[in-house]
Amino acid sequence: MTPYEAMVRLYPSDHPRDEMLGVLEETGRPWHREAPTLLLGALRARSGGDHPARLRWLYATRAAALMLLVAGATAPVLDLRYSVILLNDLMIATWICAGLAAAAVMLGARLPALGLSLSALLLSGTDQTSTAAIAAYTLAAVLLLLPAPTLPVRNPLPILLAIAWAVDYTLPPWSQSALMLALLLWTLIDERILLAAGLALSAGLITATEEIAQATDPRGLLIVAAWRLGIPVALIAAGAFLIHRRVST
Amino acid sequence: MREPTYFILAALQDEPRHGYAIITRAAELSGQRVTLSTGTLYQALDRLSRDGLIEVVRDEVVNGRARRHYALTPDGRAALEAEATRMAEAARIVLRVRPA
Repeated sequence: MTPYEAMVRLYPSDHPRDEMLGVLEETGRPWHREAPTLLLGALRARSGGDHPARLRWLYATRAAALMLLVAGATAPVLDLRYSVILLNDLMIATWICAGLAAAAVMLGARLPALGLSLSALLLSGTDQTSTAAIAAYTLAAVLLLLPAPTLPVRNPLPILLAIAWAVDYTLPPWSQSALMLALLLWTLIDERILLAAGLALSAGLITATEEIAQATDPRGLLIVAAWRLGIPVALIAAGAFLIHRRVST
Repeated sequence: MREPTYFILAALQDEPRHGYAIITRAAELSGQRVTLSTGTLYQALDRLSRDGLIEVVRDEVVNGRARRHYALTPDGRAALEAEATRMAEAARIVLRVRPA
């Protein structure tokens, strides 16, 4: 198998792979000139590259809901680790609901995911385990209200990012940098995860109300506002721009 | 409209062409400025087909390889002409005030 044949096989089977191979043979260009765009094209085609703008936005809301469900379930883990709270049956039930909701999002089953997210929200609200978890489940449920065709989210990156987001200060700096680099590189292929990250981080606006209430000086307030509002807005704006660019002729 | 897209559509304005012929015609029309890679060409062809600006009009097998011929749709021709008009008007603004 030639390198070109191997690269063209990366495209989904419904792509004109044989025709592309014919063009590659006819152009006879050096391998290094063709390889980057062939690889990029194949990865884009594999990751739903033909979706129109509306579906790209809706997929981003699903990926954001997945991130929020994972982050919501991970948030109380640190409190448990440092014995701020104790493990109880309600918390286990919340994890089960959040886990099943995340699995439903990954399978593209919106209504079961919505029902399970609402259950996780009600259970976590009853227990008052973590404001971050309640905020995450709330926004996940809101995002899952948006109707759309079946859009399974089969990308591990939202899950990894959500865990990193929830346990950020316990992670070694290199792993956070590696995840950020992965997000940036993946954005070249699929901008929807960047948009999803922005949407998911908007949950911070809910927790910010508590932080603002506790802030004692204007500088602290400004930092909270910049962190909680600035980053999600920047990510959503960048994601929206890239979606527009991607679908425009 | 991006420049590669413009020259892909322009390459199809006279007659339907297959992938390699689009690459060579786009390079010729742009004075060798737009040299499309195969990956870029097929991403653009996918997008233009999805948007209804081009369509496949003929399938054939040449030297054992599948080959499809692409043609402009009426919407594609209208989009190309609109873009050409827009660029001509923009160019006129600059060229009419050029000092002698």
